[in-house]
Amino acid sequence: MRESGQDILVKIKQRWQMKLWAEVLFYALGAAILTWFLFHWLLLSILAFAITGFLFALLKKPWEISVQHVSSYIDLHLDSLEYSTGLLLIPEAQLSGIAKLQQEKVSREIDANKEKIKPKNDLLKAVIISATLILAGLMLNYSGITEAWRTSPNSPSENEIIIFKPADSVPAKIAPPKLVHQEAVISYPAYTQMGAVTTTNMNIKAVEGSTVTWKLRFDSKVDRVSMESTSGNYPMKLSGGSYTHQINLKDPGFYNFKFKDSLGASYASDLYAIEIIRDQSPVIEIEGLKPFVSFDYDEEKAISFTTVISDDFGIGEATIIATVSKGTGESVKFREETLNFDNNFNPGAKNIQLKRKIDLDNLKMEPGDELYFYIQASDLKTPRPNISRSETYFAVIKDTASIGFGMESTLGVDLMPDYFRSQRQLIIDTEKLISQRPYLPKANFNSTSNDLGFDQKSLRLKYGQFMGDENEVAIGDMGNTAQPVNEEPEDPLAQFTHDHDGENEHNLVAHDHAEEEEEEEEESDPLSEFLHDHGDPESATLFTDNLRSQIRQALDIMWDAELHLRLFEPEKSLPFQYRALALLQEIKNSARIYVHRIGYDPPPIKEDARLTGKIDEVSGFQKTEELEKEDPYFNMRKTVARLEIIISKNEPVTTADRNLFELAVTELAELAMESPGKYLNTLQDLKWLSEERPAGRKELLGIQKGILAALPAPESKAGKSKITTDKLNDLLLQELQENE
Amino acid sequence: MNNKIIFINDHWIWAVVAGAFVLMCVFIWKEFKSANKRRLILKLILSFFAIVSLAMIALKPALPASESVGKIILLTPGYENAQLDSLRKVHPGIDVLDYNLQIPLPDKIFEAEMVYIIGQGLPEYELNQFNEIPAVYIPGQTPRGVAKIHIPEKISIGDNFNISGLHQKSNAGNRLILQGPGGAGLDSVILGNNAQQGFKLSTELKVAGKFVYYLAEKDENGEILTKDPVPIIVEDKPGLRILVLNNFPTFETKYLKNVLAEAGHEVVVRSQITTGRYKYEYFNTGNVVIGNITEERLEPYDLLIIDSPTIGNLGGSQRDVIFSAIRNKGLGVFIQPDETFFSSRRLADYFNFDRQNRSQIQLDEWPGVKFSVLPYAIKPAKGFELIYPEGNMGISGYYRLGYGRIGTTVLSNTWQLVLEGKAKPYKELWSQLIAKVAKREIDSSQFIPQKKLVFPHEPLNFTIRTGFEKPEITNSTGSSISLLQDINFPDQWKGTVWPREEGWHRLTQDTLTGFDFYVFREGSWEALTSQYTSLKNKEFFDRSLAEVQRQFFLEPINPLLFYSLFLICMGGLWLEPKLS
Repeated sequence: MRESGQDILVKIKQRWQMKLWAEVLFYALGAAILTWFLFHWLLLSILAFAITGFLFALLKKPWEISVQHVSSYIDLHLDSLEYSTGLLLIPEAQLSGIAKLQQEKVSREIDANKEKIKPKNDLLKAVIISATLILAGLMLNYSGITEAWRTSPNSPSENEIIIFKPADSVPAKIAPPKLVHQEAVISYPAYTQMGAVTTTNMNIKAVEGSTVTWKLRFDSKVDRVSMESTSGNYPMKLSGGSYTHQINLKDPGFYNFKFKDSLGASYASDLYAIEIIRDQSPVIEIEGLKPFVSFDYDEEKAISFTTVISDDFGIGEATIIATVSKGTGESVKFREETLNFDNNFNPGAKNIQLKRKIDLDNLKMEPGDELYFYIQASDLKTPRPNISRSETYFAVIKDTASIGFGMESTLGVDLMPDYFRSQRQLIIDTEKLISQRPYLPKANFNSTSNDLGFDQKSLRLKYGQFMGDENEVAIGDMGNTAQPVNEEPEDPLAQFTHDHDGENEHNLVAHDHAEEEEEEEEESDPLSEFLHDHGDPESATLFTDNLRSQIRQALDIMWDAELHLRLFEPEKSLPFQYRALALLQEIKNSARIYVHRIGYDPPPIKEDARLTGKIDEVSGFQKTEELEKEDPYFNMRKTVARLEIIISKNEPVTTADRNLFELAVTELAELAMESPGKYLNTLQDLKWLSEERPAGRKELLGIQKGILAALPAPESKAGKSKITTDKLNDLLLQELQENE
Repeated sequence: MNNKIIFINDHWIWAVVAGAFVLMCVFIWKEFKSANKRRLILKLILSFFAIVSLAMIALKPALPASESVGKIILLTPGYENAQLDSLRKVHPGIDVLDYNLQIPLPDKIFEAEMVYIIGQGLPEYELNQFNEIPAVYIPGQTPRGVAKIHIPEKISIGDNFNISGLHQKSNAGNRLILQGPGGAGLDSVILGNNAQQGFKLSTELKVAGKFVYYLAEKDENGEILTKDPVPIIVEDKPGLRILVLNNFPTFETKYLKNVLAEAGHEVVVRSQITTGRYKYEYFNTGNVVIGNITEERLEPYDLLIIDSPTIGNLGGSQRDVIFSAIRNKGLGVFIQPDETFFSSRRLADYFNFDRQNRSQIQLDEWPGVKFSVLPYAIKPAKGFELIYPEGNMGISGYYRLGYGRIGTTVLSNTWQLVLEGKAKPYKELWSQLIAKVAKREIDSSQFIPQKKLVFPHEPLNFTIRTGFEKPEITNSTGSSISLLQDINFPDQWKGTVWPREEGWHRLTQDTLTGFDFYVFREGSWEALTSQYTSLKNKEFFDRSLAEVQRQFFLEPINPLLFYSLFLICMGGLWLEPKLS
């Protein structure tokens, strides 16, 4: 039966509408898929679908297409219908005869041409655009540009997902339970003022003292979930559908998860590291301050400085600890004070800049007092804060009383002016002069030689005094000194110093005797002429005759020494100087008194009584000890040897082996703790090997290689070496012995 | 050319001649009897030739061969073309055969007048086939690679594992690498562009067991050229039992005993406190009685550390006991000297000292460490071995006395090293001194393979030395190996095994003792094998050729000739009656 023209129109209308809806759908889909690729977020994607769909639906308005639209569209596009399609829509009863005929004709025409009628649409365009969008999304996804935009926090990235592998080699009977949710909540200690962090990365890196809570949720029922770490094995508690475990971080280490499914097959995860960040002590920097400052008493005695203190988690306290010392020597007194900075700060700040002006007068310091101070800062760490302190700075108010003393506080030697040189010093200087002769200009050489000659003369005059020689002849008389030595004011310190370089340098005479002598000389006694005059150089009886002649001789030799020095011939002078020195030594020694030393002379030992003392109370002594040290890597060594057999003979890994590997894991973990980067992979593989999982040859070799590299070299140990011998050897040895 | 005909079956000659003669007679008689006497001569001639050819078929006549005939060149791997060409030039038309281990030697070779073997030669076990064959061996080019290597067979844990060898025709930039089990590089040496280059590689051994290390050669780009296994048995060192006798407690002994005990040795210390009172210390062992020194009491100890006053105070019989233990039981005695020891000449038979003015010394092994020494040095003498030499004198050493050793040192106050924080040199020094002097464990059984490089499917001749009356050896598959006793040394037995697989093999003597050897992968240590084979070939063929020289060589006349002659004669005789 031929379809009525109206039916055809209705069908075309439906088709048209369908196509428009399809267009809308394509646009919406394209947008939605692009959004998915960009953000990997389903909700956003659905939203994009709805919005785009709605917009395009409004634009295309597919619901507005009516039969009238269709008929006018056909009239426009199909000439053979003679603009009469409208007739089809009018009920037959309402039409005139001609109209009926026309309706009949149009109806036939339309039926014949219904395939030609293609309602206007942009379906192809929509498909292309949508395909382009999808393709673009796909490419962006592959290129990885979109990674950054993915804001969804709870979807762990690929390598963070905990992968549980069956620990048994037996194939699982049921589908292994799947991990649907994993997270670790790191709660930092309160003082750090850092909020808790939720992470899906199982390699934990946190501040010392943080609390970590692990939460694992599985899709099906599992039995006994536990966390194995270097410190022990902890079962995880089931609460609210997830397995949780909490640990307060103290030491770095490794851990992994393990669970059993409902059939008892066990699964284990990879090893993860726990890294501990130690809270650092505050860092103190001081600007604008010299380590040592000194003030005159009339200056403004104030020190001002700025300090910058920084800490990784916040500073708790910062103070200046100052110590004032008063007095010197045994009467020194210390006073300690804690000073605050001028500006306040809020505890918990990570970086602060503090200023302080210290007025020494406010500290009641007087001239001669010293101030030592340093800055001490502590952070907020609990229970015990980290404390750091700066270097110590000094401030001194110069003591007016001791000015000019010129004594370095560090030097214990009382330096006295260099009045004259000893004979030994002269020899040293002369020898130095001779050795430097090639490098010195002639004028310099001559002048130094002359100077030495002068010194030699001073020395001679010094000794001449003992002989009662004319000491009125000033040392400086012939020399270059402007001020004669004997006119020098009396040394105010003489009473308090031990005069090494004084006239009586070599202790030639008893001290008081010499003084008496001088006093006698100074007083002009009117009776002197009638007395036995000790002051007369000719009859002075300071020394014995022998000594006198010796000194006289020494003085003569000094004369010669001086002569040659004055003639710029230090080489010739040297022998005289040596002779003078020798004589002076002799003179010195002659004034010494020698006492014969008497040692303890033990009574002779009675050999027969020796070692016969009572030794009843001395008893023998016996002790037994096991000192052999256990090899801390015993199991690792055994593992290496066992692996060699397993690899070379292709033997299966037995339970005993697994127990051995388990022990080796603990040993290796200790080594790995020190340098995790080096041994972590080996540790992980070995752990897997101990968990009833079969491993290939390559893995075994890798493990063996890793353990061998980790093993420290054994300590040198003497051992019994084996030798082989035979009859011939024995005969030879016997023969050798007999012919010895 | 000698044209003399020789019959190969000449031992049949008379029988054949007689038979032929009889046959001829019969024939002549038969011909004369027959009526048809026409062409008698022809028939007689025909029959004569027929009989002669029959006789010839039986006797196999032969002619001496030409010069090139019977000479063969046998090509073995690694031959040089120049050698082949020269040989061909000298002997035109000479036969050239390729040697193939898989197929038996062709018969030709067994009949050859001379065989020239060029290249690396034949496998050692194939050589005895040439016992009767005149052959000359011309070695080929020197192979490229490791041509000599020294690998210690057994080594103890903690010792340094040193391998040394010689590399031939190395390329500059190539590296030889010692790889551990698991493939970790342990030591390497860079090769120069040399015809021959010695190398030495070493590593520390950390684990006891049977291991296979590898010696790999890599080119500049890190490509592995060769990788050859280096088998090694690392043994645990058994601890020593040490007895220390001191006249008075010393710091030296105090520190030494602690170090020794911590290393796991059994140490017993007796130091005198006063007359008749002693301090006994037992480390890692139970209490034992040590009174007077007797043979039984000394028996269990491997080392006696004794200070010189104690040995001086010992009675004659006790000293005899000690010296007999050294001589016969292999006991090691280490004397802790004091100043008087050097001048007393108490043991002057064994030690000679020279006065030296120095109080400190440095040893090469521990640069930067100063050891304090007594002002003497040990003069080396016959039978004396120095442990640490100092110029041509010695710091310490031992004298071999029978099976045992008696040693001493001039080092003093070594314990101060421990206090200075130099515990490592201290431990190393003493462990070396003690290991050198201590009693050796006598291994009653020993396995001496005839060669070190054993490959699968090759025979390994070995000698074992064992204390067993009738040793029985089984291989890894459990089959027993028959042994042949040496006629001169009844404790030596010879045997042969044919290992089938590469890897470690064990010949089991009983549950405790066994002998391990490693069978190398076919094709490994190419240069070394080639060098070895070449050497063995040289040795084998270095013999007087006259012993096996064949006087002349024959080429049999083709018997077809006689068959056809016989056929023609027969045909003639058959045809003749038809013609008439």
